[in-house]
Amino acid sequence: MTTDSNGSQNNIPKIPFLFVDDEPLAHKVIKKNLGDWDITSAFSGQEAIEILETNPIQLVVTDIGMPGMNGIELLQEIKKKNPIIQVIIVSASEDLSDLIRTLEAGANDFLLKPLKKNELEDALFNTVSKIRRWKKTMQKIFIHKRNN
Amino acid sequence: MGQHSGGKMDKIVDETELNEIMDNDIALIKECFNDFIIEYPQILSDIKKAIKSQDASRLGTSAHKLKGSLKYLAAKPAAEIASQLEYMGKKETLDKSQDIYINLETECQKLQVFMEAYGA
Repeated sequence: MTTDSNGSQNNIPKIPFLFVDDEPLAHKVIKKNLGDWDITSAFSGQEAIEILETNPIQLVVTDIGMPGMNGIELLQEIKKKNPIIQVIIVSASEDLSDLIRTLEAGANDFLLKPLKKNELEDALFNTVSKIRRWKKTMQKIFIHKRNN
Repeated sequence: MGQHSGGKMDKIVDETELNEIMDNDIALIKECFNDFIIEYPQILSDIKKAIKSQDASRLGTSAHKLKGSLKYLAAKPAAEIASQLEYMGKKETLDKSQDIYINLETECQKLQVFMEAYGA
């Protein structure tokens, strides 16, 4: 998927997403770099779960290495409660087993820390595009079922 | 490792990568440098206490926290040393942690000088 000179992609809206990381500096950088996205912050896996229980967020970007509930446990918990929510995993480690474990657990994408604006936006737009396609497919199925 | 001779790893901060991470936002870089200068002594102190008390879990957590900040600041040698301490904490092998801690302290001091020269 390609981005234009502004880093945005034609016809793909920017949907709200939850950013989960125990590192405050990561939040500061992401919020400045992606100022035109609607970003909710959580500083732990547990806080993320609480936010998702009360907010209709469909996209989560989470760090793996957090004290308490780590990113993979958060991903598993999200998939158990609401498998429609898409999760992008971020890791500071270049351990291939992390990548495999997250994909097995249902992650939509995997990025390395430190996050760079273009890489993250590409992953976000790809995921939003996937969510929109699913919604269209679900609408078609719903209409088909209603008419038959 | 931060001990390589020559190459990018010897730079206290990889400025090319820093600019990429911060999207060339000088004000943001200075703000993050300022935050780091204020916060890192406490984290170093936590790491030191963890080593002194041979608390592997605390060492892993504190070193992980410092590594996270250092990666966002493109301070690669210091991040690599913090990563070594984090690994020792996870594996509960603290034998050489004191020596590595001294390297980390030195690297953070160099980093602070760099940041202050940058205008933080």
